[in-house]
Amino acid sequence: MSKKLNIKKLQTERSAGYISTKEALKDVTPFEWPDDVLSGKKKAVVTSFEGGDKACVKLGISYL
Amino acid sequence: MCQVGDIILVKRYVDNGKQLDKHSFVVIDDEKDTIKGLPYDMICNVLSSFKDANQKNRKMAYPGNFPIASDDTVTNPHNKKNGYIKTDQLYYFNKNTLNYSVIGYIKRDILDLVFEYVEESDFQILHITDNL
Repeated sequence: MSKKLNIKKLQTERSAGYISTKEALKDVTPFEWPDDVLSGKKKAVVTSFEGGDKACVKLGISYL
Repeated sequence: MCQVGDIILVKRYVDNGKQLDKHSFVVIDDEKDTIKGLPYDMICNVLSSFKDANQKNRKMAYPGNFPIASDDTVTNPHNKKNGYIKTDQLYYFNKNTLNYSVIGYIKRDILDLVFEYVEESDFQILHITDNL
């Protein structure tokens, strides 16, 4: 019986340049939404946008 | 058509955005699947010959390069040179859009050794999808 290469394993565990979701999110700080937004009393509206290099953008947010 | 273990001569392909001509590859997988949402039906490794002893030493310093003796392969024509397979670079292709021809094959027991080596190693794999 001929061997077969486990391609899925090479794609998921050995990929150069790929990192796990756990590793990617390890330094992420969850956004602190105001209670009024979480309860649905107010809406979060994006009012301005700066950047766009995919790595980082700066958003202006108002709560209406 | 080709199958796992075949040595193919690809007439034109893309690597890192650069168009390259005429190179030999070994088919290491021929099942349909997708990567990053892009369909493919063949995965290959580059097969190259050693030019001289210095180049051989340089190339064999990379863990991803697996040595291949000239009599490990059966091709027509055959350059009678020893060489290596770049096992750490996977090229994803579609057979119906790739301009290639089958020129021979690598002996199955040698290919099994290559697969074993890749699976037991821990070097990182580069997935090249430029040709999809």
